[in-house]
Amino acid sequence: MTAGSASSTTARTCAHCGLPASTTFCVACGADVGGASFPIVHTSSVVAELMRGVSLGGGGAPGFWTFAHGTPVLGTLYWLFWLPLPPVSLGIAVYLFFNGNRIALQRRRYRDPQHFRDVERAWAIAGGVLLGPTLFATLVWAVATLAFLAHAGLLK
Amino acid sequence: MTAVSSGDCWSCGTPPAGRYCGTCGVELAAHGGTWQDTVYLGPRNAALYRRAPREIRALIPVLLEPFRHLDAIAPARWRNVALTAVMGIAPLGFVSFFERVHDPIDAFRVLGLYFSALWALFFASAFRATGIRWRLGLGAYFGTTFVAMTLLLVSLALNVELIRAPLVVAKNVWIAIPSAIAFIGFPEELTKALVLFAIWRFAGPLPPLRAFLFYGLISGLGFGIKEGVHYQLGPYAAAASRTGAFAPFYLESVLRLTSLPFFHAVWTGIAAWLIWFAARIPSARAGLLVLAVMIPATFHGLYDALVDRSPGLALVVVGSSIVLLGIYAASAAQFERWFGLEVDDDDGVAVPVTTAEAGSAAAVVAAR
Repeated sequence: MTAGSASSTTARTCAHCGLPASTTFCVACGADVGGASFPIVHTSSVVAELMRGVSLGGGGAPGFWTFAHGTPVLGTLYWLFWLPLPPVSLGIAVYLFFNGNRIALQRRRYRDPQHFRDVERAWAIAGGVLLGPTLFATLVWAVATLAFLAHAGLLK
Repeated sequence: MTAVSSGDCWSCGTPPAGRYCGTCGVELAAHGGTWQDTVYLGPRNAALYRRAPREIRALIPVLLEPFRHLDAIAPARWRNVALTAVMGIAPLGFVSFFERVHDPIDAFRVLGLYFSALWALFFASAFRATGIRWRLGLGAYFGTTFVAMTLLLVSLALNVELIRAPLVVAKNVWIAIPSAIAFIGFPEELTKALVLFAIWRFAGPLPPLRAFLFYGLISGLGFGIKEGVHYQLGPYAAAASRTGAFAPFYLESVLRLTSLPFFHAVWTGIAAWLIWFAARIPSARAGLLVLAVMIPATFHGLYDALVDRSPGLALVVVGSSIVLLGIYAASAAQFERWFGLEVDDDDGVAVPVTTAEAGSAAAVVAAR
């Protein structure tokens, strides 16, 4: 966590609660100078470092990883679209590959950073194992679909 | 979550002064005491369908706030917003209208005007022209397209075209280049400069240098666009309908609305710069006026003669003219000092000179 000092602004009346305020955010209600409440959360350095990494577990096994990391809606969408619209599912996998660590930290509690690494390493192994077969199955499915459409004369 | 009532802010480390942090606005009691507090959203709050409605409710008053202060937006900003909207929507409106009335000829003309406006706004912004009178700008544009170009066409019809045609297309480059300068560059640059002479003599006090330069650019733009539309509707359209090759028609049409009018504008901009100084310095007027026609005419003629023989060299020529205009425009204030004139815009480069040196050029010219 970064140590900061109370930023002082000129004395004013809070636009939200009406109490006297002299800081950027009202200490009584948390509203900013305009009266809106959008706190600026400072991400700790260890969290920031973890979020910069990619998530092989999220990207390689999105159909399972999502349900274990508090994003069941995304996981359901992944399975729903896998057959009719594979690009959507691939998009979800790519999104989770790059954003999986952030999502995991936002939605699942870990004891400490090491616990996070251990859990996600296990998921990375699972993702690595599943990634190849998933891509292969998607490719086969896409080719089969194209062949069917061509056979039916729906492709020109 | 465990509440904390003492200690620094869990997010930014600021000493607490109330229920919320005065520096970052987080609720101090929301601290869960774990290393994930800066990112963990909670088991229920993280879901998009829960977060988004709550955040949108908080955002709506902020997003609506500017509408309560519309009068605080400066008129110039409103003008820019309106201009941006008009310039973005206009082509769609024009094309839709002219397609409906089945009038492609006027559509070409109106789109030519549209591109002129686009270029004019770009010039006004790029050269940061101040003191522009838009009525004079319109006068420069239409004065060139209607009056000066008519005079040029009459001149061409009076045997000039007959004489120049075999010379400018001569295979020998040593014949083609001087012919292009004399029979294309000179008459066309003189045509574009006519309106600048008119502004100088008849439009009241001489405009500031940057404004005069802008009028020159606009005059050249008018010439280039009018010529371009003429080529689009005439030779290009005829060639496309004869051969069925519409790609060259499209590409040539794009050039006729973009680069070529720009080149015309640059050459007339150089002329405007020199004519402005000619107007201000009677003792050097003859020299400056000859240069005002001959420098752009040389660039123009060289470009025309080389563009089909050696496009690379033609680009070098036109690039040099653009650089020349840029250098002169940037050094305008310095030239004003050298000639002992009052500086009407001291933006741009300023070469250090002694008091004795300042105005020495004017003194030398005056002494001759």
